[in-house]
Amino acid sequence: MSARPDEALVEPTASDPIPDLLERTLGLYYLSPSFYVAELCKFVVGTDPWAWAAQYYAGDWATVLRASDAVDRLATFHREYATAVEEVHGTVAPWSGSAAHAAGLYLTDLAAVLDEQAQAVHGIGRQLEQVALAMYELNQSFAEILSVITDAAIIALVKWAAAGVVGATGVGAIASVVVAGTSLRELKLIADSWSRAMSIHTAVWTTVQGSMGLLVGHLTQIENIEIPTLPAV
Amino acid sequence: MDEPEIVVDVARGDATLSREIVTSLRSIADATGDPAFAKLVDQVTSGELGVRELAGTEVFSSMLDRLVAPVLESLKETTFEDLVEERPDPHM
Repeated sequence: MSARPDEALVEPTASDPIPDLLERTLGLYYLSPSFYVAELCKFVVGTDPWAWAAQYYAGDWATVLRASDAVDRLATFHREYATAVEEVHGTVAPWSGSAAHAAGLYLTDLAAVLDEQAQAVHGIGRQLEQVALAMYELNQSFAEILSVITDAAIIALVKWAAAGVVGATGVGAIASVVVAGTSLRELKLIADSWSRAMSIHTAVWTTVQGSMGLLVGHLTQIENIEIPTLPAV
Repeated sequence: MDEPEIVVDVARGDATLSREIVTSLRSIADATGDPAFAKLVDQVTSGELGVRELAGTEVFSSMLDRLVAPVLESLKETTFEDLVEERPDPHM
């Protein structure tokens, strides 16, 4: 007899740990940009990129990855269970008669159903893993883009302040001229970077939606699997 | 001043931009006469302090309160799109 099926049911792990990736990559500073950096970005792109990223991507993706591993182990359990049932079937083969025939049919059905269930459960594990990894990659892209945006915003603020002290006409009066004249390159960099962030967001979101669709499909498949009842005596 | 030139962190390797940033920081320090700010700018030019770190200080924030808050306030009357149209960037 092979290994016990329940040996597959061990503590799940996250193969690629993702805890607080955004925070780790950006450092505390980039997650709490100064008020002015955030305000400047709101002027350019209409939103505070950090608040936006935190709202959409702050999540415990490592737990999703662990869940995918747990589900995958559950699939392995089902597969091993199916194999074990087939082996039992083989062991009782010399037994003959109608009871033996009924038992044989039952075991064959059970093994087939368990195998089908294993495949569906495995599919769920795979989709969960894909979602977690997609979020991981997306977090990395966002971390890089947010750091570019932050640097550009700091430069623009420095230029505005410098132009403000140099200008003799008073800060309020020269505002839009100052902004356009000194920092258009930085502001455009912020706008372009954010637009890139949105494209990446859309692409990843489509992938995640696809994974969720497949996942729901597997769930429906599992719901429709009927475990055969034991043959009546 | 004759000191070895450093490229500040936020300039990301662009020496011209770095020079522009340092000049701007110096003119802010000179104009505001804030010794604390001037000291931080010295640290930036000597490479001791990054501009990112500088931007995270209270001294920098209170400088922005005075010089940049009014700029942001008056920008509420316009949009970024209007600014770009008014003044197309010759480099792009």
